[in-house]
Amino acid sequence: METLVAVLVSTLSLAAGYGLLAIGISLTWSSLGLLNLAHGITFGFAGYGAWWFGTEVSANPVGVVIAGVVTGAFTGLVVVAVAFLPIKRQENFPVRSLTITLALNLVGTQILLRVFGPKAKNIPSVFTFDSINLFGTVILPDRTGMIVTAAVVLLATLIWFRRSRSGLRVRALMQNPEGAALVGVSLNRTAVVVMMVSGALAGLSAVLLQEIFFASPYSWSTPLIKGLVIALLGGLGSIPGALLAALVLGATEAGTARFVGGQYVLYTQFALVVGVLLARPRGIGGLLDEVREADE
Amino acid sequence: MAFWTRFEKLMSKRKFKSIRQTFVRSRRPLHQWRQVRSDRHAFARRAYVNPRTLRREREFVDERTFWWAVALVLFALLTVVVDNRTALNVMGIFAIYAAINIMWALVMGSAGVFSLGTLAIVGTSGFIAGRVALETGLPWYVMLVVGAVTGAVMGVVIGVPAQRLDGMYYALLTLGVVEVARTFFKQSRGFGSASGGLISLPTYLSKDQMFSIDGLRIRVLVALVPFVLVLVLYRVLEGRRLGLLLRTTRDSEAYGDAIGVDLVRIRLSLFVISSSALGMVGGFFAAYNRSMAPSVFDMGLLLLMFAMVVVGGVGSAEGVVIGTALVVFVHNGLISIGPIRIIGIGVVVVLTALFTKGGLYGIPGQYRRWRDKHKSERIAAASQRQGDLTSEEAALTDDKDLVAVARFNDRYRWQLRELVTEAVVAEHQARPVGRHSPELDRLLNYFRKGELADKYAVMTVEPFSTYRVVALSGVRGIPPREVDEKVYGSLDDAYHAVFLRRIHDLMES
Repeated sequence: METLVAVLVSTLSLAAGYGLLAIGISLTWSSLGLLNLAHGITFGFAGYGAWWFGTEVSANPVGVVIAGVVTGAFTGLVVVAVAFLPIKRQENFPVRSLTITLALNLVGTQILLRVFGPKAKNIPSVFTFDSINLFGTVILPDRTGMIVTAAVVLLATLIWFRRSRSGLRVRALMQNPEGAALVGVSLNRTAVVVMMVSGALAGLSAVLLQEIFFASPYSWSTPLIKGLVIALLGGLGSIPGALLAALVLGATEAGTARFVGGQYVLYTQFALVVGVLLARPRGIGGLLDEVREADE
Repeated sequence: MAFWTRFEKLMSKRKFKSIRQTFVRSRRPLHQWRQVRSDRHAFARRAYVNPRTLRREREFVDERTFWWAVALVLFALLTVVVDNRTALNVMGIFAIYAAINIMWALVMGSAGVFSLGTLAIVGTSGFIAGRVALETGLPWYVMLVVGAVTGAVMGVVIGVPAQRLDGMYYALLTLGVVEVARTFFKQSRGFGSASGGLISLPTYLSKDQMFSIDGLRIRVLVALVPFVLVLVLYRVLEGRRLGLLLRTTRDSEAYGDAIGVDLVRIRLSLFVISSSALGMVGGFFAAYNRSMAPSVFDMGLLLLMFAMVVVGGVGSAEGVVIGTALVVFVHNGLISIGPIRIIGIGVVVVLTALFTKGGLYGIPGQYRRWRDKHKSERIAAASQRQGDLTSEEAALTDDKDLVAVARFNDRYRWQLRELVTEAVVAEHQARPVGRHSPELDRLLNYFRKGELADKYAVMTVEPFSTYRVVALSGVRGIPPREVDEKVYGSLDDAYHAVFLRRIHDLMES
């Protein structure tokens, strides 16, 4: 029972952290057709933003979280301004935008290295309440806070996506970009909104995952790859698919770490993803609903 | 514009002729060596008549073989001349990276498969080759063979998912492959997790050569061998049947399928061949460095190599090599500048992706297309005015017959203008149809011969009572446009109105 609870808590917290990243990637791809590999550097910048606020301004947890989220949203704004708006109508857009986002990673890493130096920074702890004892398993405040925050934020995102006007615009773009343009959905404005939301989600996950990934110029690559793999397993563009994939991969990671060994986590995850993709090339989302074709 | 006109004139003078023409000035019959088992010639030439000078000339069908030979000889000479260790190291790294990138560009450019797993193949092959060499104690060239075999196996492993997955899905999956390889080789004890990789691997230098500058020179020169091998492989694959099939199916898989291309087979063979070459380079990489570190799988290196490939342009080996040279020079040659140089590389990549269609190497072509577009627009505008060609346009028109026709028409119009008098106009007004004086006949005959596009015509709105003047579009299916609002009561009035318009246009042109 204790093992089960421990694995469950671990699953949920990992799924929370990675799911926040994966949904941003998924959302951007499905609505804008932009595979945003600069999500990694957004994560990196947001971590530094939170760290800077925590050490220079105040260590107030709410302030730190907001600083991370705002930095993430702002980085998203930069990415959309460089990698999407100028070339959105030009030929070969998917590959060109992918190239630009990869190059932004390169530039961003060096900027971080130059400004903050190679040493990893420790973002101040956000959750300061007591540990919880559940069926004899001690759950650290970080874990509880992570799960609760991520659940609340994901729920809010889903409500925004399903209920609000701008969420409706995003969904219109996902279903049919030309049709959306015909009924007056502005691609530019929606793109900015989508990228800021996904940047903010990346920023939040940077603050929440600070226990695992310190803010350092190179620490964004593993979260990026995990986020991408989850988005891939979820079917690039399906939000329920991404959530489900986050849970599945979180469970795989937690289970492997517990029962097989921490160093095998990546292998089991990867084997799972390859297996699912070979059977269902559109991932889990391909079972749930229509997802965007990769080449249009 | 004037600058470019002058520039073109300068280039057409004899002493500035491109090298291809000076090489083939002789009138001896063409003798061309065929490449084995193909109908291609490495230095094939073709005879043609230069439309500007009207002289017979010959040129290389494909100049690139020649320039490659020149560049390789220069590189080798540079290796011997240069006395600077840093420069020699940069040259060696360039040769190896260029070999890797050419194969990468083959997969991305010709096959259109967006793979990011190249370094995973290189690194894995290098590690396994190194391990085999350490275990068996065999010499360095065995590592190349082992690397090639490992690469072929890797090609099958990463080639099979490529059959199922679409572009971006596959790109992400290959990114995952790199991460898995990195974790594996970093953690495995057999591959030196304790010492940070495999060390003291066999190499092609003797003990005393290892630290002398002459040894470094040999090290760099030998690195040219895999580079040239990969280059030849690229040209064979790209130019032969496989390359043709790959490019056919790149833009539309459904089309390739419909004309009977076995997509699975050609993609798999491409993956196996290119990965095997990459594995060979990986084995050589291990021998070159005498070590193998898991940093070969790092995201930073992947980004850098990706920058090399896209800056020059993935469409051709030349572009890739130019991009590699540029990035390697900035990254490894200008270390003293500090991290700002990598920011510079990133900015260049962003600008290339924003503004060019085929990387830096594609810029001349892109400029030429832009210039030709404007040129043809100018020529079209001139012919619409029915005016004479300017001397600039005449020089740029390849078909001199068109120039002659334009000149003739111009002279003819000058003669016709003298025929237009009050009397002729009055005669036409009195009798638009029927027998005419010779002057009026000549004018009418010229008008009848005119091009259909924008030719005036009479449109019947209401028979016998309402007529209007229109201008034909000259294109089937596109209706004529109305010229003005005027309505004419009889057909003769309308005929005369058309006549007056044509006279007006003749005097204006």
